[in-house]
Amino acid sequence: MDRREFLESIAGLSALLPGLSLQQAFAAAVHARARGASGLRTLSAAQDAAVSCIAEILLPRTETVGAADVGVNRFIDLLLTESMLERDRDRFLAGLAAIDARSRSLHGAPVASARRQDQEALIGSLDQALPARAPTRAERAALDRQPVTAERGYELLKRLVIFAYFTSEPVAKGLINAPIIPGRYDGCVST
Amino acid sequence: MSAPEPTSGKYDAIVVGSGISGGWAAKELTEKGLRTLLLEAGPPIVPERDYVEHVQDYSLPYHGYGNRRKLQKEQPIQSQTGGCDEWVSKWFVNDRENPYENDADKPFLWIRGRHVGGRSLMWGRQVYRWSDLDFEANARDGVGVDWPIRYADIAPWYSHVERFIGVSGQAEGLAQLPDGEFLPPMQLNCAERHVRDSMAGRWGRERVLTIGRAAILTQPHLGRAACHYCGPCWRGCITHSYFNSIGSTLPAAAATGRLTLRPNSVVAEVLYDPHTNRASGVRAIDADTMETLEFRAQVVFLCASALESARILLNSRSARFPTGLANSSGELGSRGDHSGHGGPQDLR
Repeated sequence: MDRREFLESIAGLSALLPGLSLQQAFAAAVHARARGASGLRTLSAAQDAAVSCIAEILLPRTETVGAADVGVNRFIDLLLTESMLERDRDRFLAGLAAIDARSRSLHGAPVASARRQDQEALIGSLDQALPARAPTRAERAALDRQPVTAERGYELLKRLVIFAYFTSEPVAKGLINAPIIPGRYDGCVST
Repeated sequence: MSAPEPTSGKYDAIVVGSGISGGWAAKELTEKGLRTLLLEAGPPIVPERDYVEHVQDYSLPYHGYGNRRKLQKEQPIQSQTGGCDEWVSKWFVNDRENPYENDADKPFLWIRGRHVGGRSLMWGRQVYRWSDLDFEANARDGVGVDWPIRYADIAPWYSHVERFIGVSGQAEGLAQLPDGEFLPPMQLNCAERHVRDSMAGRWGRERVLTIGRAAILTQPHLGRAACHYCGPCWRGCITHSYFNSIGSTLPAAAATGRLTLRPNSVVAEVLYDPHTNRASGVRAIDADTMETLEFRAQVVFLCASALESARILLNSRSARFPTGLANSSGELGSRGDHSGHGGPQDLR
């Protein structure tokens, strides 16, 4: 930000919010600039591209909403920014980097700008490598001491993508639509 | 100390703590005609405001993922137990404000709920009778002192409690797991039925799969509604379909007209009268005003959880009991609570 941009942003903010002090306006301007046009606070444009690309391959828009429609990337960015433990956030971001590195070595481009069939081949092979079950606490602790591989990075990402999608309001209300108060329990409806 | 509130003659009994045991003590004492003061360290719970079992994932900032940074900072111990989630971490104490120490080789989780209802709001609701296999186990193994009671002594009291709280379960006639006063059982699902039948085919009655025995109503019971199967009991139940003191024992005690419930009252010690050689009341601190309060009664029940009750006794020092009330053996506080990771805890 140069001096002109700074003054313009102050002027704009001050006009909108007359009660704002110069100091507050400056802080707000810096913050707004840091967020950039995407509104994301932790994911860089390249990281967001990887998350959004893989999320949409996993949960594409069909006759139902896709990952992008429900803002999976924005929700993941929210968790990364506010609630995920810092060490988990760092490992998540390292996982994205590992996936992009794998894509570069196989296909010569980060995953988001690879050809569609190369994207699907990479995601397919990472998906094949997923463990059959979630790691136990002890296994997870051991994994957390190892460098993050593309496989581990994909595992972390896929879990978050699915969580973000299925806990979103459009999916919970529009697709799952489970009754909040069933009123009864049928343990075994097939017999 | 400010002038004590003149409570002599006002109460016949004082109960400290409003959780499962405190609620029961209040109910039994008031129903037997005693004017009872129930002191609770934490704030009141208003079900219509505080219960959140029907709040959906998407209504929460992190959709149930939780603010893990905040949990790690403020509730690193409490959040290790089930139920301390984005909905109801508010019902577990702040570990920074409620610190404790343990020997390095004896770690334990002290899970605490400081509010009216205590841990009865978040408890596991699974209730099983012990059998004589349990009552006699240590004697058979030659460990410790033989229990002074057997199943036959306590069975009527199991029934007394079960008939009031409502326990759903399947009677099986098993010696190792005595049947109770059951409401209809919840249903097994398809896979569970398959396993049950396969086990029965292989082992008969030697190994039996049965539905969990839970303090959850499967039919209306004593003015409480049957379970509506919304799922997350530990976030509260607006229909009072699982047992907690707020929905059952406390209303029963209040209905006698002899209950006085005083939240935000942190009991510091039990008062001892050397002339009568009896407990004569309690000293408490008002959590809002920090005012010191004294309450007198002939009967004092400490129902503040095993660890907290022991701590109150250890704090109750007098010339007669310089190391704490009921601690002439020096053993007070050496045995357990329902804390995480099991095993007896040492509070000394």
